Amino acid sequence: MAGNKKRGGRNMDQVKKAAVRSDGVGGSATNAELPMANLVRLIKKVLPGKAKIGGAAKGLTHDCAVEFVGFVGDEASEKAKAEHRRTVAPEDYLGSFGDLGFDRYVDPMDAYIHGYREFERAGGNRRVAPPPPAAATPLTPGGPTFTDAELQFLRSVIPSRSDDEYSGSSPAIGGYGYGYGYGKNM
Amino acid sequence: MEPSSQPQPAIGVVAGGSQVYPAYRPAATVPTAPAVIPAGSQPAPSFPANPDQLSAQHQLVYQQAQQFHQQLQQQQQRQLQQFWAERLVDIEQTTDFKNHSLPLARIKKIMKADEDVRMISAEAPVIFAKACEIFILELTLRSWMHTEENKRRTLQKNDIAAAITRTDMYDFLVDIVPRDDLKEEGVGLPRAGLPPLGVPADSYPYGYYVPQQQVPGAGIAYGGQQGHPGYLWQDPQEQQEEPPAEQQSD
Repeated sequence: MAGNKKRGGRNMDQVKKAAVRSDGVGGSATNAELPMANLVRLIKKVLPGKAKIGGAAKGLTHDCAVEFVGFVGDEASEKAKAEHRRTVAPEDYLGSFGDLGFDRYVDPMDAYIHGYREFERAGGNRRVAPPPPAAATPLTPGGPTFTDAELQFLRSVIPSRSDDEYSGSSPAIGGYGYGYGYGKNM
Repeated sequence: MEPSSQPQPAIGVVAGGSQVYPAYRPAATVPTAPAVIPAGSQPAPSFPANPDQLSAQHQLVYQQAQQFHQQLQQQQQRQLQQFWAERLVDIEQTTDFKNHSLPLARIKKIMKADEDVRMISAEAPVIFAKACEIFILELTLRSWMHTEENKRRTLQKNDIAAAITRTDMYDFLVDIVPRDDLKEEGVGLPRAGLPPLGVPADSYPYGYYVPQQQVPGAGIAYGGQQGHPGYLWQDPQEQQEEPPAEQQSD
């Protein structure tokens, strides 16, 4: 069904490039788009202590993760385009997870987005001191359906005109803590 | 917390051919000679072999192998359910959104790499940092199941290839897997040629037949007699995992 509609259909030049890269000797290390140390830490998190990880397995996992981001990102971008929006919104990603067969991702990612927004409203990214812990929001059994109010909120916080930089730089939405150079925090 | 590692199977027998996944057409290979060479491969509705054609002894061994497969699959399903329950708890308890397992700048760069991608909201890299983390964890867990089935302690490329071929959700990754790992996964499979990169969306390159070699010798059907560690079978319960999916995969 919908989960397979993107089977093998992505940008083939990039796919072949990735395929070649994962075959190369140490290729992933040279062209790594994700830091291998972070990746290996995640892999070990789910394996028993006695497990070992082959070098080629690390490289292949990396390539799969990069492909995953591109795969879902492309689908979300198409959703935004279909609705004539210039910016891809969080609900585009949520919908894409479901459409592409990643059904189990929808509930956790919905909870994550809500938690992140509460974090932002508390001004978490603009304080030196750690913010107070946010209350856990129980998931509604009906699933991650946005209410009309939520959708209106999403559209209002996403600027209609913006360049490639993070939208937080726009003074029009100074009230929100968006786009405070997340990458620089690492 | 780390998911509990799966205990080693009590029976050191892993036979391919427990094909009950409706999306694929299983093949039943019933040899008519005492040799290991199968007489022929015929598609069967859902049961890989006709029990009436097997002797009582082989039938018993076959049923035991079936039960073993079923128990192994149930065990793996429980592992996955536990994994996802832990993910939900982990996310609901998240209070620190400034430190991520994967750097946001790198994820943003990946998202921007495709020229077709539109402008992304500020939340997008945050969403993908977590989604990508979950993706890596689940892919690793599914790959490790294959490692354990082969009684190894080192996660290898072919384990990841096996997880990808077994899981519909990972169809988009097939082009990423080197061909030799797909071929290695299909040792002994009757595939004349591997599909080229960029398989059409309506093709089913993974619905191939798994030949069974249940009776390689008199009374010695399984165990050390088989030299193919990487047997492949379909995961029929994957698409029935809880919570129930709103969509069905074909």
